[in-house]
Amino acid sequence: MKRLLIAILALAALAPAVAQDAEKRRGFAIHITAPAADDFVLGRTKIEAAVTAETPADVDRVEFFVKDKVVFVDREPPYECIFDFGEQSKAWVIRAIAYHREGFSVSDVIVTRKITIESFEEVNRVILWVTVTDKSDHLIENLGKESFTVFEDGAPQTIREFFREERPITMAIVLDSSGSMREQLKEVHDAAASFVDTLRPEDHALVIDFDDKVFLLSDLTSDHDALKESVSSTEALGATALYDAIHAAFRKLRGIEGRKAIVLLSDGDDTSSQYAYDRILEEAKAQSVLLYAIGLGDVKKSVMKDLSETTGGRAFFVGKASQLGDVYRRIAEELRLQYYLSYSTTNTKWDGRFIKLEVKSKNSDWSVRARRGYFAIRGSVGK
Amino acid sequence: MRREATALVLVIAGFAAREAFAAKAGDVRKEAFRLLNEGVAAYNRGDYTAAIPPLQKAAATALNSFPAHYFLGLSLAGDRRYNEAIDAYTIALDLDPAHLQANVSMGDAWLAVGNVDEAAPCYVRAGKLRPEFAPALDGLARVMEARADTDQAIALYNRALASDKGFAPAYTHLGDLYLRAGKLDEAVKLLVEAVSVRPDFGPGLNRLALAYGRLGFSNEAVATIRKAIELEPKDPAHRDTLGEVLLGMGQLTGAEASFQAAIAIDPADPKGRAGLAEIARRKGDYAKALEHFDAALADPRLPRSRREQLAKLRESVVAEQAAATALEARVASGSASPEDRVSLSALEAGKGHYERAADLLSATGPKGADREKLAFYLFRAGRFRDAHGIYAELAASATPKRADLEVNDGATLARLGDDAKAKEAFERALAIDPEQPLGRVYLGNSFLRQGDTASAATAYRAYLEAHPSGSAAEQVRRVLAEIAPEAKP
Repeated sequence: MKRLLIAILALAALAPAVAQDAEKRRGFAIHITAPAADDFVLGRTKIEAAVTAETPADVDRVEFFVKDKVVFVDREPPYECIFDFGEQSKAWVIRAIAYHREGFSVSDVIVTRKITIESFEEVNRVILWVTVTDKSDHLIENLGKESFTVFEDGAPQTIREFFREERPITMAIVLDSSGSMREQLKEVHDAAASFVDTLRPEDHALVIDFDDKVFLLSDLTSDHDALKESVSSTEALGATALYDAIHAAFRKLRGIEGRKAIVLLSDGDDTSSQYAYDRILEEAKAQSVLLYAIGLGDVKKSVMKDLSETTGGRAFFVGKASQLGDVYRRIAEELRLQYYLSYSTTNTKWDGRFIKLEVKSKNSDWSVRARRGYFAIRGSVGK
Repeated sequence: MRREATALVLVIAGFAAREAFAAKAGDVRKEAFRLLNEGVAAYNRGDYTAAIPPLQKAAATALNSFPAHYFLGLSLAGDRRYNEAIDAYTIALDLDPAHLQANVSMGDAWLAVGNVDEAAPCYVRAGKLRPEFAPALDGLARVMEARADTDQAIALYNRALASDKGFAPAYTHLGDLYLRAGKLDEAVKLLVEAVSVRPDFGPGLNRLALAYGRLGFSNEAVATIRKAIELEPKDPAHRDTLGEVLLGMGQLTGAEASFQAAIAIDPADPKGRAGLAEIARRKGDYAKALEHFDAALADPRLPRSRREQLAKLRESVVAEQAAATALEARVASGSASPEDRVSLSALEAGKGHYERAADLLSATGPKGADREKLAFYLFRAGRFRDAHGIYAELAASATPKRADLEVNDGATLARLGDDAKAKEAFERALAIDPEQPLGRVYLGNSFLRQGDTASAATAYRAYLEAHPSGSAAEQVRRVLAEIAPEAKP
């Protein structure tokens, strides 16, 4: 692959109005294959383009542009280059122009997306909330940091702080009120209201109700009566915008410091969201919010399980609404018995990759739950 | 324990900014629908300030409502709260990434805060969704303008217009580009086109009025901007432009009233405040001028580039105030040097106080360039006979001969009503420099005032031939159309 790296030149930004005669182009085309449109890019990233032509020799060169500047000219396949997008997440315009030996050209353009990551601290301190259970699923109390080891992509980290978390929690109670919930609504109301009563006076919660539309019934408050009135007022109607509701809950909790949790109840799979599952999973990875999901009846377990376990939370599945009370009680118990763990990461490469986290207990009979990782974006970890 | 206390304070601080509420599901849904309708109706009336509160409440409760977030963004942008608009658009576009106009509006908001790098991807996305989408091309053209790539900007505006011949913003933005470049002819043509394809397009009328003002077509300028005000009475930009046009006409009182009307709509309106500051400066009321700058600069909505511009203007006023105070004190005490008087006369001329500027300069017994300056001050002060005396003497003694001095003398003679002698002065100027643009125009004017229409038309045509895009071209074409309608200018 002979490559000609040229100085960065300010060039015509917009592709020539690719108004070339289709007949002349004879199937000559270019398509940027990586990164994907609407993906987010950071650090040194490969840009790849696929060129189709009658014969490979028809391709004179491919020029790659980032932000309207030529960053690379490639004269042989595979057409690709590496560009350093820096440590800050932003939207980028990436363009590739393929020139045919006969003088005409075709182009493709993609736009990448900025990822929203909240951050409160400059230092690269990673904070985790950890839940520990034994083989019988009992929560384990009175543990110290010596009981744990933390690994980032397999590399051990030094725990700096470890204590039982007793500070206030901020919570989003998210309730499905789609039409299918109609028969069980009374029990749902009672169970959610009793969950509100498990909150301590210093805890705050908000209530989100969703069918195909997502509404905030109560903004953050510690007023149990107000919260109970909201959770008891939902009416079953419409389809299920599950992902929109989860995204809204993440959005509402963004910018609030301390431990945060979403407690979600739904009886069905998503049927009408504007958000796709991938975006919700990305949000779950990007935000430090514990997601507890309760699936009532026949739901797609893998979705709720993956989402909640990514955050360090948990998914519960019950067949009948009468079992909801027990599940809500269990969630309340877990939230009261969690550990705060922090460490200064040894990571020095802020390239947007997802760094896998693993918290291990020295007791092999214990199971440890914590969020599964974070995006390597500078300033994103100290939440 | 210290750790816990800190966390609690942070959590409480976080809540302070929130307007907490709790309600029943049915009530929340009904209320959100009502608020959305109320907000959209206010937005459609152009009353952005009234639209924002209901839309904020609607968006805060209807969490996945695209229209609530989108119209909130539009209203916030209309109220110059661009950063908040960007937040609202971000959610709207998360909900509907393929919404063409939302992508363009997001780009516009980023451009308004001066972030070209964030604006460009928004327009490119819109262009990907619909190739050759005129608003996207128009947005990209503005990005290119911001990147000082004028050629590319013009090409993109033309692509936008080729794609949609009825797209008034592209005519307006391209016209505005020419207006700023001083190509008034081209600017007027495009802006006229903008208001022809969309007669109710306020920004087009606004820029056209400004172009007319720059060309000296005061009546057209005022009539055009008044039409914009009638169409969009809540837009302070139109009052600002009227103020600017009136200021250019020397009508300080009218200009002041118009800028005041702009800040009555938006108390921090930067153009209105800058206009009022300029009027206060001209009146020598520096304290008032600084007050206006401070009011504009205190507005958190002010984009960075505009803030820097206003801060620079403010600095220059502070410097002028210091210089003027010191110079006035020395003049009052009789200790002023001739250089002090020259400096003070320049400051006075900058405020439009030509009479005093001339007196101050005259007292120094000016020579050379200062004497020429004195003639100009006298001319602007309406003391044409005194000005003519100096210009005639300077023109006669200049070595080598200078066409501009002859033109100025001719213009002074014309103001004295001596068109015959004025004509001779212009002819002398053109003998020295046949390309002298204003000499041709003024010569035509002299012929016209003397009733010699044919000679006037010849002079005007000669001007247009040599300077088809000259600053007086549009005026000359209009006069020619009046006096020789049968002949093509």
